[in-house]
Amino acid sequence: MKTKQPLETPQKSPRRRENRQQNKPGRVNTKGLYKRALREAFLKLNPRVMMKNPVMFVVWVGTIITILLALYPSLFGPVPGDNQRLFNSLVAIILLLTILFANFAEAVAEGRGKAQADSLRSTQSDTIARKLLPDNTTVEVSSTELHKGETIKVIAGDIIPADGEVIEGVASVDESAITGESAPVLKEPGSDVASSVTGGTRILSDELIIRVTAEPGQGFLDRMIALVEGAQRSKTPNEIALTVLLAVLTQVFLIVVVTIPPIANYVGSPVGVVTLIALLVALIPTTIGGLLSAIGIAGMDRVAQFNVVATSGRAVEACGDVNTLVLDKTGTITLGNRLAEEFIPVNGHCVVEVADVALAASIFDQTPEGKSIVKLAHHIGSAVTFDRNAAEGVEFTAKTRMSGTNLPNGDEIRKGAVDAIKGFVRSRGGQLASDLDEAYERVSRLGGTPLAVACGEDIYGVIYLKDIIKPGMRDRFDQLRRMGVKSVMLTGDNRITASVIAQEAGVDDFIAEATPEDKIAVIQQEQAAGKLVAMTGDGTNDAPALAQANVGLAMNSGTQAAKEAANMVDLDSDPTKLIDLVTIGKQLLITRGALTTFSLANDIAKYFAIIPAMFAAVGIGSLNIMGLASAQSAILAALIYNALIIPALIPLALKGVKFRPLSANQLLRRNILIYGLGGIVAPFIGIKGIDWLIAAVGLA
Amino acid sequence: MKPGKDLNEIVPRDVSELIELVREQWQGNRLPIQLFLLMCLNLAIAPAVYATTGNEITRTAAYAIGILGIVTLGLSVYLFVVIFQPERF
Repeated sequence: MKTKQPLETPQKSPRRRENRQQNKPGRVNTKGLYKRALREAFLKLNPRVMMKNPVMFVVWVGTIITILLALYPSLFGPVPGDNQRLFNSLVAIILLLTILFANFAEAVAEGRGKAQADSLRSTQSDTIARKLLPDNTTVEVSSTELHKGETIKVIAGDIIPADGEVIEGVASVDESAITGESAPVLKEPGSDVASSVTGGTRILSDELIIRVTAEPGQGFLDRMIALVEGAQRSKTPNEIALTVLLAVLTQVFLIVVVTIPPIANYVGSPVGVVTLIALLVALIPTTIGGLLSAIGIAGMDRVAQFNVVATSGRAVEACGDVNTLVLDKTGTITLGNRLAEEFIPVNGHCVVEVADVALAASIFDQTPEGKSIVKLAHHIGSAVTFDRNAAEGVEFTAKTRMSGTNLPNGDEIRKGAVDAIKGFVRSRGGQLASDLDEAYERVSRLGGTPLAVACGEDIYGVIYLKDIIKPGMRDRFDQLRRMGVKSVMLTGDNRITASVIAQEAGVDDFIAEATPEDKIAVIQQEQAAGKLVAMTGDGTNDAPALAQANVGLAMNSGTQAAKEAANMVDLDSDPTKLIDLVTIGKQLLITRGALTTFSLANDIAKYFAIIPAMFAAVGIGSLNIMGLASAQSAILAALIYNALIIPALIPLALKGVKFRPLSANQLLRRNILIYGLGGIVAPFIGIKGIDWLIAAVGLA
Repeated sequence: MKPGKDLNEIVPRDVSELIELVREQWQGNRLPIQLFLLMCLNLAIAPAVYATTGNEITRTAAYAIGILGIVTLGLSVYLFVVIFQPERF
């Protein structure tokens, strides 16, 4: 039986509210993570699981053989030397630890993803929904019985039982369970963004009538959980390529090791199977093999910590490869709300007359811009002089590019793009004022948006809507440029305004007077040139472009269509995050490259440790440049270093290499210096130190 | 009770039944059958190893070396599969 949720007020369940705050997606509960990861590390020893990782599977097989040799040292024939059982046992333990460390790294990274899915799941609950019947009565049903198209009623204190669209009422909704943002959000019908509600959020005031838009189990939260859990399992193209490279290297070293015994026997220095296994394990890239999946999962986790849900690791990786960013001006480069700053009279009118007409044109306009015009007009002293109920509001459309009011006396008052108003005035038989273009250019050169206002055939003036560029945008675009990422700004503004904003913000290119079709056109154009494109969007008209882009970031406050078309959803609905996502993607790729370089560079020291030890009897002792104590201690030291370097690098794999906004060549040089040179030097020091300890303890 | 009676119920009576039995078992228990066939293969490899080494190693060691060779070959095949069909892993 389903449990009924408290319907009175949110304060009735403070504990639950507190839990929701703690469980917001960005902050996952990682309590007991390491304990669970340790258990998982042992469970992953299952050969079916181990086979997924070719490098570690070879180590696993080597470990089994070494364990057998620890039990029966003469299994493959007599072996020279003392204490073979102890030596074989030590090697077996070290190899087992190597596998466990790699499994642990993967389990820790996976654990964080699972914790995120659990935290999302905790926001889901079966609730009792009030389903509206055709006769306007309500019947209580379980939320799992709600279907697409049905209407429900929710009142203050209710958990919204399913994803839907508001068709009646105005209410504030607490979306902190999903976004982590505690400030309530106003929901009302008729708006693309504000009419969309998500199941699992709580209505704080008033009541709403909602049309359900998702079948049970297919809501936003359900999809997010599936994505977070499923994303860990599928390998990205780069991971697949790297897996192939690692498998090729392992194959090469396997062949090398298999061909050693005949040569060793020929030169009169036979080599034992355990030594061969030790050499193989030391040479194959176990460090990157063990950490590869952890790096990928951690990349997803870093995206999740930014409160962004990615559909797959592929999407996160694509962020790192992005060449072009297509960004909307408003809300991304500039602060979302343009505010009316000034009324500029033309055609012989005065400021008060412009304010009166602007007020009349904006009285039905519920956009932030419209409200700011009303506020400025009131500030100047204007007041509505007509019967508002008898007047008719004219909605803005992308086609007409103007909105306004039809007054009860028959006057048509319009405000909108200057070109559109010019056309309107001409169509009504009016003359264009000579000082209009001057006012238009003045506002445009200030980087503002000019809106002309007219009453019938008479143009009254221009409203200066001020755009404020978000702080720090110029630096961020400079960083992107240094990384080789081009930024393109799209705006519905005129060319002069667009160029001023583009110059101030430091974007590389802009498209003025852009229509939704321009977005998809610019993406296709860039992709045709072989570039990867990222963009943000929230409206239904953005959906095709979001689907076309290589990285589409939809806003959580956006429409269902936009969220479904995109491959990432930003729970905080902040379009500027796209720039951060590019950084995270690049960091993921750099981390993988750096650790691969380090892992391969490690081989040099391991050669110098094990080969002279293997063939000491043939007179190549001079190659023992590290001065290792004995053949057995050399092998043990190399293997212990090989095992210990995995847990030592887990923090780096999970946190990622520190990102620096440098060009690809500079990054390559820097990483080769740090991780290539470091990968050569570190094992020499590490192996020598461990060898010294082994000799001191008297193990070998 | 005749001991041959139970055996008759288990052992296939003709070749077609035998093939059917092997096919069914192969589908249901692929891994054990593969391991069994590899052990059978070792019956051919181990004497060859023993013959080559003379009296240097025991017969058991020869069988162990044969299995080690098969395991190594198996690893190599596995790595080739990873290289050519990485999406399976």
